[in-house]
Amino acid sequence: MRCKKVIGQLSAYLDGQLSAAEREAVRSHVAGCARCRGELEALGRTVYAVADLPRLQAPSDLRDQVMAKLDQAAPAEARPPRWRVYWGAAAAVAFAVVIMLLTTRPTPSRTEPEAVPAAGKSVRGREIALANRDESAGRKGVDEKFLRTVTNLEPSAGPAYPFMAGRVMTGEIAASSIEQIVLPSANPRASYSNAFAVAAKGGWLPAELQKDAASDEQLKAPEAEQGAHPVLQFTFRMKQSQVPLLKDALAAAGLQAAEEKGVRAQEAQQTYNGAPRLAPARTDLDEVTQSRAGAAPVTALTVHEDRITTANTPMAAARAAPAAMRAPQSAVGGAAGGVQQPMAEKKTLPAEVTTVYLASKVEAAEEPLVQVTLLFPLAESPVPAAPPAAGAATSATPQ
Amino acid sequence: MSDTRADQQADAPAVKRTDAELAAASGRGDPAAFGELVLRHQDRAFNLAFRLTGSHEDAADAVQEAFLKAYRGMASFRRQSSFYTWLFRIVVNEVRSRQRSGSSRPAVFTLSSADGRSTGDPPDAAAGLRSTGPDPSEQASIAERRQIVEAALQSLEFDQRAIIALRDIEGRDYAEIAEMLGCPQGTVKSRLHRARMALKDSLAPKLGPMPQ
Repeated sequence: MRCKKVIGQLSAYLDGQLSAAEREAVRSHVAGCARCRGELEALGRTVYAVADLPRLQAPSDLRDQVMAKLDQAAPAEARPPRWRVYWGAAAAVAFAVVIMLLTTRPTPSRTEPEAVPAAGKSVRGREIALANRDESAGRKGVDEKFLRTVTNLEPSAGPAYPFMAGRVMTGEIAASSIEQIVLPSANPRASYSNAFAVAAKGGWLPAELQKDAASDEQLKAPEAEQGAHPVLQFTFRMKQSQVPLLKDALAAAGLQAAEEKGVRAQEAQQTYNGAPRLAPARTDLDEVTQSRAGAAPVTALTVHEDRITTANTPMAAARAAPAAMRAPQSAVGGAAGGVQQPMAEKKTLPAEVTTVYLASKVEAAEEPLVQVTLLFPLAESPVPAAPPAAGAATSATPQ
Repeated sequence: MSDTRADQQADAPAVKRTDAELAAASGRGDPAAFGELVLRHQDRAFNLAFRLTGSHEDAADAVQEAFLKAYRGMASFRRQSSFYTWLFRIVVNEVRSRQRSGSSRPAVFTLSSADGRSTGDPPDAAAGLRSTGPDPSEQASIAERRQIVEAALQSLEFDQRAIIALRDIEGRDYAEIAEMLGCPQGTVKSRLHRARMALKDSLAPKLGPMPQ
């Protein structure tokens, strides 16, 4: 396949709009072509950068302005009686005069305050595409790296419609490339916290990424303590039934290899020794996986019931589902293979499933939500000296 | 995909009417029903218009006019599409026609909407207003990055800007975008590609290696 043709398909590729054959053609070409790989990465970054722009709210008086003019704008279907039209015409004239007098009217607008979860505010596009997931996870193994961008996952929009707005864009990049995973943060305050990267192929974050990452408020927590492992933590909520897909996505990205080194939650906390806030003392820590040597470092995935939203969810189901997920692990006492077993089963999902609606329609309020915390270490060894960080005291788990 | 989704966007009282029901009531001349629709969709409509115009004032004007046109034209709202899709089409057309006619101010880049203020202020000053965020210097970097992205977006031609806004900001799928822009899906695909590539070329040298 020629580069020109491939590049012409990259946009659709990112959107999961290619056929399986086209997708595979692009994927295999990109794996072996540095130029096209670079194009794909740059395109993915561009898309993310746009999606990351802040959301604005309409001016507070917009509705009033509209409503004030409705009289002049009666629906065509429902023309009022003629005498009312006259009145309407008179009113329109009067209104026009008023408008002329108002030479400059303020149109205040503001962005959504990022520090405040947008309770009840609108959330946007909510398809989550975990595209091509099983291709590399199942057949290609962890050597296949993904560019996986989760854009614009906004925090809970209130208990009735929690989490899961936005879109996960997935593409694949070749094994030698930086692997990027951009996941939502429950803390919208630090915009950068919407994005994080882990190094692939045994590498760590490039210096510039490390620098950027360090500006994230959430990253200050681990760095604040001497001897801590810098760890990126992302906490968000998602539907219980979709958690296996997330795990698959992580697995496909080569981010865990629990069959070799599964560890218990307590051990994980020791792994994160020095960063206690990032290994929350939650008794319901479900699963911790440790990556294979040479791959990305320790990755921990914790799932527990979402305490905020369970009021709106069937509690029994919420409990039963995590229990089912825990079962394989407890059976092996948290030893090797605990997490991988269910993963392997999930990989049998049809390859053609490229888009998963994580929050479609009203089931969002009915299906149990789980809180997922992803921990991604940024460095192999503890931080020698903690930089003084203004936001250090901020809890790493905004929940 | 259509009304149900839109309904979820708003607050959720115990009993609430769907967009379709509200639209039908609006079409019968019920201003209150239309007011509810405005309330539900004004933020998204405004956000879209802002990304298309780069100006708070122009966006507000365009959205206001779009709502009025929607109200007037409620009879032509066919239920095959969601109210939201239909409204967005009106918003896009409104902004486009305003920019064509020159009634709108020329697209002026508005400094980071991150702090809700417009124009002029240096990013670090804007960031300094925030009490709870990262420290000002870090915030400045975020604001600067956004500023670059916004400026690059505004530098695109209208159709490219519109399709990127609908896809990458609003997260609409190709079919919806085709409906909103009144073009075939194949056009959406190719135009979106060209628009993203143009934006990429503009951004790549300016943004660092991270997808900020």
